[in-house]
Amino acid sequence: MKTKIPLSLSVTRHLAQAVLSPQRAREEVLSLAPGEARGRFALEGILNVACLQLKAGQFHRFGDWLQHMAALMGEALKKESLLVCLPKYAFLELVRCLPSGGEGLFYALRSPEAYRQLLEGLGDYLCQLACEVFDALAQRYGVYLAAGVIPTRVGDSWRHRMYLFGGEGEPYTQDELSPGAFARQAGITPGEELAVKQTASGTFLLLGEEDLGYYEYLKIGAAMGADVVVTPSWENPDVMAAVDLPRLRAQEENLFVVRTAAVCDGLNPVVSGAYGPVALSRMRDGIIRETARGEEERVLTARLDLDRLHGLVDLEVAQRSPELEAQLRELYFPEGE
Amino acid sequence: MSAIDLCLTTSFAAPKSGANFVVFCDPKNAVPGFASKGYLEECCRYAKKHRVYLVPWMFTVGPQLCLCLIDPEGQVIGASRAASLSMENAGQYQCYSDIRVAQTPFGQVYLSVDVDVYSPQIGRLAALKGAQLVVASQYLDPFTYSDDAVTQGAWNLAQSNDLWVVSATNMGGAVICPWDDRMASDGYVIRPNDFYPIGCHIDLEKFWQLHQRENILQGLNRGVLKKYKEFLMR
Repeated sequence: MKTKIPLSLSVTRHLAQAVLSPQRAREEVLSLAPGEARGRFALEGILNVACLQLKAGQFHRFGDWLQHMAALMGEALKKESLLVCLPKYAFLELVRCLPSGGEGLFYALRSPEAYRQLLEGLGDYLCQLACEVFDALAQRYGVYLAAGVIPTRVGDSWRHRMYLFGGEGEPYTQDELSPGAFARQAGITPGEELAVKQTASGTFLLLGEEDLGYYEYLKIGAAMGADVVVTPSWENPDVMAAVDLPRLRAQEENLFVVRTAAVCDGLNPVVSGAYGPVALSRMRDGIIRETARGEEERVLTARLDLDRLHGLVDLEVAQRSPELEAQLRELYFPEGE
Repeated sequence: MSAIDLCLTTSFAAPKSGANFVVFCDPKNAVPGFASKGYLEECCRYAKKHRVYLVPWMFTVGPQLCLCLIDPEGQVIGASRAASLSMENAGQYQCYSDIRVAQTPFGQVYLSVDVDVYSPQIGRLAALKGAQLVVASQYLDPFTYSDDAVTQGAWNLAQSNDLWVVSATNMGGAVICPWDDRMASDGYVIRPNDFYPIGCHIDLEKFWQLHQRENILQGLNRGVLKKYKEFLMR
């Protein structure tokens, strides 16, 4: 069912396309100075990642936002980061830069109805714009860029699709498998596929923040060979829940989980971090690197040792129980299919 | 469904007044096989005397590491055997895969034995079998203990399955609710501590009425699990 697009949104879309077309935005990104260093200088078996914990809503002009992104990317590249991760709704920063109504639209995240209206009115344009901009950023700086969620139309429905730009050809994408209540109320439908992206520098899996509630997705991803799970997040509603689930999932499945949050209204302290198996963390707590619980924008970098990860022995495999699995299978698929 | 007036305390210490559900936390490892029979008989007398439901400390029967639930009549109404073992216990006990949930007036209760609390599969299985409350008894190495052990086990179990979890370890007790900022901002209704007796009022029915939200299991994407079941069950 299609929602009627309010006139203001329709006008905004035409204005936006006229002033900031996806192609023009791409060209502007590609005209950026490449900075002191470029990515792709990975050491074998080591993956340097950067979480850009952005402060939302700082810029109203695309050019200003882009210069700021260039500065942050430069910081990430100084630490030789090959994988750069953005927060969940990074694309909304582009909405805010639109010529009119951007600021109002930014508050779309305050209610599912407003978010749905944003998607119906501007969604296709925003998806195209965000893909062009983030793909160009990845290309310009020679990194893999996990660009958070970009709402994408699939048939008559909308998906919260996560994108990883920078590989050869099409970007790697993964839809949220268990969207949260807000997204579902806004009409976001769950994904139907789960896939990993193999690269020379590691095998990546993108998962939504709510997806981390389900160990099954990580288990499937790990069985497909994933060693780094990237989870884009927004402001943490609760520090404990936000911090600990990625860390605990990393320990359960013997892989790295990288989570990037955004600083929004400053009401909630946010945490971004890279987590891994206990044996690979300095304090034996599963934390590889983590931001302090604060409200500041910052670039967090972490060094993920994939060689050591592959050398770990999975004790759980030794304790597998076919009887337990049979019971689980029966309950997961009650009709016996 | 009745409300639980929980009391966590050491074996055979008198419960808090008004308690109807007692869980023992002992500072030692599991009760050894030769002492289990006498220990359980005493537990049954304790439950009958104080008119409480009781989950005694872990005990051993042959190669089985066990937990049980005793009703106020002194009858054993539920039991669990370890489905996974720590490296220290691996040569001493066997693993069993019968995950059972016990029906009580407070709701469906699952007893998680020792390191089973770390297994996401076992927690999920209990939740899918209808568990609403888990009592997780566990022996933790006192020399390496930190509260994080409870977060890794009982807290994770609670948040990943929307379950209330009563954690009873040799280092103390804790009560954890499914995350909801109105009840406990970090999920810990009672943080791990050993100031016995520890009391807590739990009303599962009221909790879910107040915190109307979808249960986490309803969001599980079974279509994806089905599509990739060969990876999931690998």
